[in-house]
Amino acid sequence: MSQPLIKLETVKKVFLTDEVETHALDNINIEIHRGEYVSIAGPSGCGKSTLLSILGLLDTPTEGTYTLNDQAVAKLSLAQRARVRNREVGFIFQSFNLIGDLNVFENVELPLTYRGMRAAERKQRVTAALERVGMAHRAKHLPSQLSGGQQQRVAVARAVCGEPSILLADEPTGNLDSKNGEAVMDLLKELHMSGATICMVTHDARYASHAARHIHLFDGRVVEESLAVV
Amino acid sequence: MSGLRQALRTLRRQSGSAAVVVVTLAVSIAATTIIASLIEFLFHAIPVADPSRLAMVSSTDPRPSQAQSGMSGGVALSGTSVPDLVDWSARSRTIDEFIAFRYDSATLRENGVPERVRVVRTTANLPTAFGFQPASGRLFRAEEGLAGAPRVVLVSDGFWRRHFDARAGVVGSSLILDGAPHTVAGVLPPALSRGIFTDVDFFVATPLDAARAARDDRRLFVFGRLQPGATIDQASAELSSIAADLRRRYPATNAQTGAVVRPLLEQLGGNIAAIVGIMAFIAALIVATACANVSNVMLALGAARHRELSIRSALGAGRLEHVRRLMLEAAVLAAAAGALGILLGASGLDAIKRFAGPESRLFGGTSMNLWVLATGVLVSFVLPFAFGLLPAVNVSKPDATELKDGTRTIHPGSRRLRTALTALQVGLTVVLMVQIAIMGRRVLTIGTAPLGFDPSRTLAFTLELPESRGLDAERLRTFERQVVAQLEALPQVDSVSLTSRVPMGDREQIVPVTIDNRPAGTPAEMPATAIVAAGLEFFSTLRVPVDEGRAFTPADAGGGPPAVVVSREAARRFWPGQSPVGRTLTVRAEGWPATPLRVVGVVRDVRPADADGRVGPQVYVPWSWHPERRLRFVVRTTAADPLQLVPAIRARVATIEPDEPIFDAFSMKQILYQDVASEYVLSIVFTAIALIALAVAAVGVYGLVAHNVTQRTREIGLRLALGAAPAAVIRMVLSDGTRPVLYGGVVGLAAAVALAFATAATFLGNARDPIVYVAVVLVVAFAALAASYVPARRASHIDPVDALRD
Repeated sequence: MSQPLIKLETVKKVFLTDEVETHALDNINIEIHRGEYVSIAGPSGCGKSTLLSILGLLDTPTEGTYTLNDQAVAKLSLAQRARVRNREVGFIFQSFNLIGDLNVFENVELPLTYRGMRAAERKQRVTAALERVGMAHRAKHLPSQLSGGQQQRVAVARAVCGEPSILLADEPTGNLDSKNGEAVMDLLKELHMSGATICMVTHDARYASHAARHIHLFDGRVVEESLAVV
Repeated sequence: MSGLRQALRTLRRQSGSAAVVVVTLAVSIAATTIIASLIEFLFHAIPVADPSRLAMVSSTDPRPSQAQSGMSGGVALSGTSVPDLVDWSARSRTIDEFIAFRYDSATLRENGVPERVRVVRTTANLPTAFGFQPASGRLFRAEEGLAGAPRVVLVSDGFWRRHFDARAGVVGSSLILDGAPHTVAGVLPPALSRGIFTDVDFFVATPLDAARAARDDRRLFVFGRLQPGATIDQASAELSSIAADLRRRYPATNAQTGAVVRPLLEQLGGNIAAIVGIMAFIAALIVATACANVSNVMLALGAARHRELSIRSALGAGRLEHVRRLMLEAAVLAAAAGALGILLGASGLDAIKRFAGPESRLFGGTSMNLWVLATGVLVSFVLPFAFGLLPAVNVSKPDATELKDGTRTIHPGSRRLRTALTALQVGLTVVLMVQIAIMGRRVLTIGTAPLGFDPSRTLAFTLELPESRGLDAERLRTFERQVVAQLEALPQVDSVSLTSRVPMGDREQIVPVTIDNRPAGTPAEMPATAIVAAGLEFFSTLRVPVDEGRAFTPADAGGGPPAVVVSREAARRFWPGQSPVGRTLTVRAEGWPATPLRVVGVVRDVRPADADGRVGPQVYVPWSWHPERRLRFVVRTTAADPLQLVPAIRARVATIEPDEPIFDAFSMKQILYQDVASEYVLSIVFTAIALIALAVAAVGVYGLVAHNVTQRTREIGLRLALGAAPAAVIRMVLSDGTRPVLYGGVVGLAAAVALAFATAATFLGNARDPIVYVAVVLVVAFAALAASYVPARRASHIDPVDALRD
C-alpha cells in the first residue's frame, strides 16, 4: 500500500485556559490515503473541529506527529504552516466565509495570490474552477448577490483552484437547505470521483454516507472507524 | 432624563473609547483657549475703553531697522517727532485730535532715596481720549499739556498699590521727579495698566515743544481721533500728502519719512490683523483635526452598535430617534471635554507664562478671563455638532440585513467615511505642521544668526543725567572717565565701556553720510548708516572682532583728528572692493559735527534688534566725540551671572552720582532673549500644539487601522487559513493605514504650500524652504506607519481557528 497522504500518530491536543486543562484530543492515530473520502462524526464537543484544525494546519498538536505528503508538519513555524496550508489544503467552511468586498473571481483567486503566481495563470485556474462548479457566469458578482448554495459553490471553487492535496470540509451543508445541501454534496462527490482527497466533518448521517470511510470521535478519542456499506 | 441616564450607561460601557474622545477634544479645547487668551490680550493690548474713531497714526520709513510698530505694506512703522506731529495737527482736516506719548524713565526721590521709575510722557488728552475715568482724583486738564503749566502726574494703579500700599490721600500729594516737584492729580484705574501700559508707573503731561525738539527724533507713539464722517483711508491719504510736503521742506531730516493712518490694533504691529487671523485659523485647524479624529471614533463605536440600532429600528424607532440618542452621547462627551479642556488650558497658560518669564510681554499679559472661558464653552457647545452629527446620521441608517447572517465583513460605506475622515485629519495636520515649522525655522534662523559679539558674562545698564544739571560735553567726558575707572576697579569686572546703543537692546540710530569727497547730492540720495558713539573699550568689552586696522585708542578720545571704525557691511557698501582704512566719512545729520572722520578699522557686523538678522552698515565714533546725557554702559565680568555685580555697580556709581540711580540693568543674554522672547515662546507653544495634533492624527490612524482589523478579524483569519503569510497580512493592514495618509498627505501638502506662500509676508517666513516640507512629510509618514504597525502586527497573530469560529 502506498504511503498515506496524511498520518497522525498519537496526537494529543490540550487547551490551557485560566489554569483549566481541556483535553480536546487524546491519542489520535489516523491515516488518510490519497483519493479517499473520509467523514468525521461525533457529538458536540467531541473534538471534530479541533481535529480538522490540526489537519488543516490551523493549529498544532500538543503531542504526537503529523505527516502531510511525506513532510512532518507538526512543529512548523507560523509562516511555514501558512505556506504548506496554501499549497496542500483546501478549506470549505460551514458559513462559506467569502470576503464581502471581493467579487466571485477575486474570492476564488485569493489563495493563488499568496503563491506569487502570475496573473495569467491565476486567471486560467480560477476560470477553470468556476466552470467546474457552474459559477463562471457570476464571476463579477459580489457574494451578497448570491444565494447560500451559490456562495458555497464559490467556496468549493476557491478550495480546489489551487489543486491542493486534500479538501477539508467543515459541515459544508450546515447553512444550506436540503436542496442546496444535496447540490453541494453532489459537487463534492464529483470532485472525489475526479481524484480529490476529501475529509469532511458532518453531523448529518445522510451526508456522512457519501464518504467511503467513517471516523467516529467521542470525548477526543477515535472510538470507531468503519467503511461505508456499498 | 432617562435618555441622559441611558447615554451615560452606554458611555460607561465604552469607557475606553469615551476616554479617548474626551482627552482628544479636551486637548484641542485647551489649545484653543490658550490661543484665545493670546488673541484677547492682543485685542486689549491698547487699553481703550472707547475705540470708536480712534486710529493709529505713524511715520513710515523704508528701512526695517526703524520699525517701532513692525512693518506694514513693506515699510517700517516708525515713531513720530514732535515737529512733525505739530505740523500734522495744524494741517489735518480729517483728524479731530492727536494723542501722543513716549516711554521714558525718571528718577523719583523720596526721603532722599532715588528710585528709577517708568513714565509715559503724554499729551494731556490721552486718558480722556482712551475713555477712562480716574479711580480717584481727576485726569489731566487741557491746560496742563501746555508749556509752563504746573507739573502734574497721574499714578498708575500698579504703582499706587506697590509704592503707596493702596492708601487713600495720595491725590494732591507732591512727588519729586527728576528733581522737580510734581502734584499727583489722580490715580488711574487698573484697566489702563495693561497691554502697552503694563509696568508704567506715572503718566506725565508733557507739552509738545516743536522749537526745542529735533525733527528726526522720532520716539512718539501717536493716535488720532477721526473727524465724524472721515475714514481711515481718507486720513491716511491726507497725512501722506502732508508728509510729502515735509519731505520737500526738510530734506535733511525727512528725506525718507512718510505717514500713514491704520486701524488702532496695528499699533502692535503692521501685520497684527494677519497674525490674529492666522492664530485663529490654527485654533480652528486644531479643533477640526480633533473633531475628525473623534468622528472616526464615533463612527467606529456606531458601527459596533449597528445591530443594536437595527433592532431598535425593527421595533419602531425612527431615524431621528437614533440621531437624537447619538447626539446626546456626543453632547455628554463634549461637556466633559470642555470642562477638562478649560482646566488644561488654564494650567497650560500658567506653565507657558512661567516658562516665558517676566521678559515676555506677550505671555505675561495673558489670562484665562471670562472672554476666554466663554470661548472654551462655546467651542464645547458647538463641538458635538462638528464631530457627532456626521457619524450619527451615518450610523442611524437602518439596515435590515444586519439582522441576518451575511458575508459582509465590514460596512463599506462606513469604512469609506472613516478613511476620508482620517485623510482629513492627516491633511489638516500637515497644513498645521508646515505652517508652524516655517515659523519655527524663522525663529531658529534669527536665534542662530551670528551676533557679531559675545554676550556671555556681560551686562548693560543705564544712567541718565538730568538736563537741568546743564552738563556740557567736557563735564560729561570727565564723568564718564570717573565712572569707568570706578567700575574697572571692581573685582570680577573685566572691562567697561560706554555706548549710545546697546546691541540688540536699542533701536539703531540712522544718519545720512557722505563718503570721501564724493558729491553729496540731496539728503534722499545720501547713503545712510547706523551710528554708535562707543567708548574706547567697546569692541574689547563686547568682543567684537576687529578684522582690519585697529579699534579706538586713548588718542582717539583726545583732541586729535576724529577717527571712525566701520563695519564690514559699511566697508562693502561704501568702498566696494577696497580697504576703507584711511578713507573718510562725514555725518550729515542734525546735531552731529560735519567733520570728516578718518576710518581706522573694520569690525565684524553686529546684529541689530528687530531686524530678523538683516544687517545694514554700521559706523562707530568715539563716545567722547559725541557725548550724551543718557549713558549706556556695557560691563564684561568674570562672574557666571553678571547681574550679581549690579549692587556693587550701583554703589560705586552712587559715590560719583548720588542723585541718579542706575536703571535697566540686564544681562546681555536677557536683552537677546527679549528681542525674540515672544516669538520664541510662541514658536515653542505652537510646536507643542503641532506635535499634539500629530499625536492626535497618529491616534486617529491607529484607531482606523485597529478598528478595521477588528472588523476584519474573520476575513484576516480566513486569509491566514487560505495560506497568507503573516507578512502578507501586515502589508495588507498597513495599506489600510497608509492609504488615507497618502491621500491626506498629498492634499494637505498642496494646501500647506499655498498657505505658506500666502502667509510668508505676515510671518516673514521662508515658504521656499524645502527642509520644512521634507521634514513634515517624513515625520507624518513615520508617525502614521508606526501607528499602523501595532495593529498590523496584532492582525498577523490572529488565530484563524478563533476568527472563523461560528
